[in-house]
Amino acid sequence: MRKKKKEKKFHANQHSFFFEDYLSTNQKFKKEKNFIINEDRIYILFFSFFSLILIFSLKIVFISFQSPIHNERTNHIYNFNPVRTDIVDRNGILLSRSVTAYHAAVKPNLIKDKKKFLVKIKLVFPKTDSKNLIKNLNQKKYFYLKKRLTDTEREKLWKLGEKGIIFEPFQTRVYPHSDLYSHIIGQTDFDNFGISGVENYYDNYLRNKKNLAKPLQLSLDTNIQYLVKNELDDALKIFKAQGAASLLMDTENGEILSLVSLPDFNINKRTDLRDKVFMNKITKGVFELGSIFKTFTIALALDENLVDQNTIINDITTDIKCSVHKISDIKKFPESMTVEDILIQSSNIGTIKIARKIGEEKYKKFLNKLNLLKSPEIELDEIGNPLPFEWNKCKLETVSFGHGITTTPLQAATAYASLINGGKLLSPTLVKDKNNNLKTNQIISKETSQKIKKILRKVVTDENGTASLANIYGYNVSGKTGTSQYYNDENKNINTFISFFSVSNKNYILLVMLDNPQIAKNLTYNYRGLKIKGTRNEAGWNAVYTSGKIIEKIGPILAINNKEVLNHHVVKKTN
Amino acid sequence: MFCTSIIKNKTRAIEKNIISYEIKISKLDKELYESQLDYYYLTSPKLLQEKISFLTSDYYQYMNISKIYLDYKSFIEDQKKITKK
Repeated sequence: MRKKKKEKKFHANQHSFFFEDYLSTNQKFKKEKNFIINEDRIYILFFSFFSLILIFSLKIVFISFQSPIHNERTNHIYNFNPVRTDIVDRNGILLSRSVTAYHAAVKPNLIKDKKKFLVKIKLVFPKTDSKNLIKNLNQKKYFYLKKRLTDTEREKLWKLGEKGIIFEPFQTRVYPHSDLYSHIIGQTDFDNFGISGVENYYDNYLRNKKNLAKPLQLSLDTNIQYLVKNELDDALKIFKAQGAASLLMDTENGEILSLVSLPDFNINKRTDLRDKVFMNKITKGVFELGSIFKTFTIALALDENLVDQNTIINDITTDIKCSVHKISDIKKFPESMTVEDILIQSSNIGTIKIARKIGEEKYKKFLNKLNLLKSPEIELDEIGNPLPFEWNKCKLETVSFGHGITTTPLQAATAYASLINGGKLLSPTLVKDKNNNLKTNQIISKETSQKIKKILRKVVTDENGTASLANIYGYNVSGKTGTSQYYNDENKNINTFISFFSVSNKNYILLVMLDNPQIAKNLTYNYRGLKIKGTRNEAGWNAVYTSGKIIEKIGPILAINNKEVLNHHVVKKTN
Repeated sequence: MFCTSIIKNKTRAIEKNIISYEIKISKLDKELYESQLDYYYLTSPKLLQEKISFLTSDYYQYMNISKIYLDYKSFIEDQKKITKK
């Protein structure tokens, strides 16, 4: 330590031993040293400024080469990008759209006075479980107070002014027509994935962002759907039926204009429906449709040239024994009837005689061609499978008049449309213009189709026909009735009427089905100009009556909606 | 460099304007989007019928096909019948 102190006393700048004023030399030395330090600082400052200017210049050059920033718009908070595209009807009327809705959540840490908060919530939601709410608040974890708030609920909660209430946005589907399309449109889950109906079938299309500007256009018509539903609602009340269903289809392209199944439900509300009455009776319901099948039997016999419409079938007894079963008619018919009369008056025995002429193999092939024995194809996942059966003894006979065979009403209506449109096999569709360029197979000849149309017209116009109540002026209504019993309960009926009618050179198929209707004792029918009270419960007295009412109301809309009429005959104002 | 910065500043001002207009358009788009939904709800056949029955005592009848002329021929034929009478 001492050595070091001694070394410090020796000055490095002392070159010689000449005398000088030590203090002034020291001052000079200090000045020189300070000057060097100041010079260094100037250099550093200059370098810093130079660097800043250089960076600034580079930035300007860099920015000047950049593209404009207005593309940021797409990410702006005000931009609403729906997660699913819209669904519209054939006229562009909105059926389903995604909107922003809110869940109410609570952050317990942000709530100062829990008792006061509880009272406030009770005022807004009186049904709130207080114990559960206190438990959640004490746990101090983020929890949902109420999911899917309505606008009024959200406003009430917002007015409480509680910081702890968080409005969590999410997207949901809204159906402006609520229950009108409940069995077709379907629903989505909380994550906006389709879970039923068209929402499920076209899930990929609806979720694809490229399709946001192209809504899914269905073949359905809202006005017609509403009128049909109204009439079916009335029929439920008049005939005290358990359920009802109807289907309206264009016979040229298979486009479905209306599909109603009652009872229905509001698709805006999420409820767990497990009761079978709520199923889609048209596509999912599998029924024994009865005498509807007689048309298929006679169409095939005519097409195979086994009989003519005027061929007389003899030996029509009141009942017939087939294996151990006894088959009979609902009423006594003449012993000899023409083929035409057998269909008009709906004779079971007469139809069996014709079916025996056809034979089992040909009949089976024909039903296969009409797609009646397999599952229907349509843009819905809710489809029913016809019950399988074996072609054992007597099966041909029972199937020929529609017993012992099940099918969905959709398949039956499509088969009828194929028979009367000139014999072209149709595939039903819920999407507009989907079938425009579809190649079709011929299942019967045009001549046979014409013959069948004439006979079915007589079912409505002939005095012995079973569908007189559907003879509405101006529509050339034709069709066939079907009355069948429940498999396990003979007292319960399924009454069906499949009709077709013409409006402005276009043909439509209308199927109306009533599930277990009762005799309408208070209803006064206008039966061939006579006013009579209801005493019977066959399809001709309820399903046919309802069909007539529907055709009367939807006919004018169909006539005016027809493009040909609009383009060629309707006068438009030019000023 | 100075020119670039002046132009860039002006461009930035224009871009800000564009963004503010785009925000306004987005807001209007959203309003239109929601208004359309309201429109289709308020003009749904069910609601219209309910409103009509609530607001007026008028009874609206369904149009019968016999009262509609779907082409000129039927109209002229009908007129001839009327004039003959």
